[in-house]
Amino acid sequence: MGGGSAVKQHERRFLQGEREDTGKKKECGEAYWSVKTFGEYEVRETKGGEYGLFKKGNLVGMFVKATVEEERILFPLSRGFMLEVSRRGVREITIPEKALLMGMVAADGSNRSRREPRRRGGYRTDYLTAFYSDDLELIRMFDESANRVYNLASHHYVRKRNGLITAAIYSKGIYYDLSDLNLKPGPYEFHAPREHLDDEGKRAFLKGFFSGDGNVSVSGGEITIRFYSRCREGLEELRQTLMDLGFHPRGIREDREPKGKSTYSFLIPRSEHIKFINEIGSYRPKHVRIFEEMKRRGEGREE
Amino acid sequence: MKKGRCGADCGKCPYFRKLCIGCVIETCLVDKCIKGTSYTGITHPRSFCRLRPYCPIGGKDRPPPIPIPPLAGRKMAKVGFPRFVPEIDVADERSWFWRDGFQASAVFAPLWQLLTNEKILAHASSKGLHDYLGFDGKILLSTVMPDELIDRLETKDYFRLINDLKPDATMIPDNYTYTDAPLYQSWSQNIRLVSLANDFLKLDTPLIGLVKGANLRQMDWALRKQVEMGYASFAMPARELFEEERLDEFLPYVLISLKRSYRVREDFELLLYGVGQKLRNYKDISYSSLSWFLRAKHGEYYWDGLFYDLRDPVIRFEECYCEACGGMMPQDIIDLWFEDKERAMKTLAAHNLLDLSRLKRRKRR
Repeated sequence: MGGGSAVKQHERRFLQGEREDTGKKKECGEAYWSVKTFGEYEVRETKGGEYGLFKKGNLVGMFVKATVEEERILFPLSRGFMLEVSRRGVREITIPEKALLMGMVAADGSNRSRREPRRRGGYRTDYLTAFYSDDLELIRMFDESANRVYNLASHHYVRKRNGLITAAIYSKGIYYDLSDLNLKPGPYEFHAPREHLDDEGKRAFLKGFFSGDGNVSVSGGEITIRFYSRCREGLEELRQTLMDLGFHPRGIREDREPKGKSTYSFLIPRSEHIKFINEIGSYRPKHVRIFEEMKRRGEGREE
Repeated sequence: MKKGRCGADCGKCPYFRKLCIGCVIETCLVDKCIKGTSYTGITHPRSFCRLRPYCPIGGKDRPPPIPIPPLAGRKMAKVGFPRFVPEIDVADERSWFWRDGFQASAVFAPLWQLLTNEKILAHASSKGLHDYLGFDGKILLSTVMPDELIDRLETKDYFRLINDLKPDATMIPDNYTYTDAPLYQSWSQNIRLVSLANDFLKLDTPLIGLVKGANLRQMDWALRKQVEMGYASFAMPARELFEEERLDEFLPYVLISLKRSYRVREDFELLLYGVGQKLRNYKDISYSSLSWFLRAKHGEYYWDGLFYDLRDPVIRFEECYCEACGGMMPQDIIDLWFEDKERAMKTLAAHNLLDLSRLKRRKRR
């Protein structure tokens, strides 16, 4: 529609275009570009290439980098977090690598501290974040994620009795970081921090968890995909997370063990097996082999 | 090419060196802003400056224009504009004049009205415009729309809309070319126009080219490219230029440019879009506007292609024998307005439509 004078068009359409004397300018001090606006939040890019986050016109944060997507803007923070600004507001979410690491720790890991008195008086506190597995591939994934998120390498210990490998990181920072997310409130307990996960993060968390406490079994040509845990609350949160991603997991079942302890589990319906393999999957080589076989059979059927 | 008035070094421009002679327009809003005069909503307040991408002191690198693809060609027949093509309001059934028994061979339906009304768009898309409007003549789709909608639509969106709406002909996508904005913006927009005109050749629907540009050079360039592609029918959105009394600066040149491009005058046709009255100095061009309806809503009466207030003594007691008036005078319409406003408005709108559709100057009694 725009033709003729922009000023006249603004007068006509918006009752704007009034002349203002603003003085000669050698440079434009307020120069920035409005990158995106989400409700009361606005993200502006400055001339220097930095990003300013404004709430109701007030600067609340400056960032060096930003990832601008259709529905949101992401600012990288430290320790594997990102600040997500979208129509829903502002929240801290984890990068997929951190979500994966959390999923692995939630399934087969620990995050604990131990306080002991010193001989000379006072106390000494040890902080441990560890992941246990007999699978080298999973240990490698844990190490890679820890390195990417925290820039720290783990110590490895192998138990001679059964070949179980412990990948251990002794860091107060990591301990408090994961504790703040309430990831492992106690032994055999876990919590899925859904409020800090976007869809990609949810998939990574589930993949990490499934690689540890997931089960794929084949019986009589039929395949069963199952999540299991001793922590019912955590498992319920996993179900909710799967539902957020469009899955319809079955209800939680309780399996009583002889010593009085219970294990809880739920199944992924057969109709969603391929979706599960494509979207979530697993790093455990045994799972991967079965999934590949299933996919091959599925493709063969389609042909 | 040298430095623009605003200080931008146009000599280094990698995109328009061959096309553009450099930004020397005295009214350039960026230049004015740097020298101390800003305009609200455009360059003031500075934090919301719309022309920042083109400002040499407050912006950063200018956004590159979309590249011009190799132009294809297609032999196109003329759409066949009648002398006056009424534009209608797709959201206001009172402008659907054929329901009251008045005839027109073609109407323009504006796409932007559909885009801003989801309900109507869904309805029209499901049935097609012909069934939605219940009109048997040609329905020409107008893509002239506000800038904010222009920026939002891509080729695939237009294709989808055109496939759903099934018009008899469509304009190529509109652009914005302001005479007081840096030429970089209007050249970028004109290149976009040509590129989209090229994309539109893939459509089966008959096409109407657009005459747009912030100066004669731009208009001429865009026209020549469209002629190269085989366009034969053109619309020139001219409402703003007409209201700013600048149309005479452009229109004669556009006509010369078209005549130069075609061997025979009959090979092309031009329609002035958005101009609400006849221009005496230009023959053989068509018009289209919604003025016949909009002015009727405000009690304004067309007489011989010019509009008057119904109470204007020049026309107030002149009888009109058009199909709508049947001998009524504007005074009779005023009387009717107090008795039955809706009927009076419809009569006035139909009269305006018929007056604008008339080819020859009528004789005063």
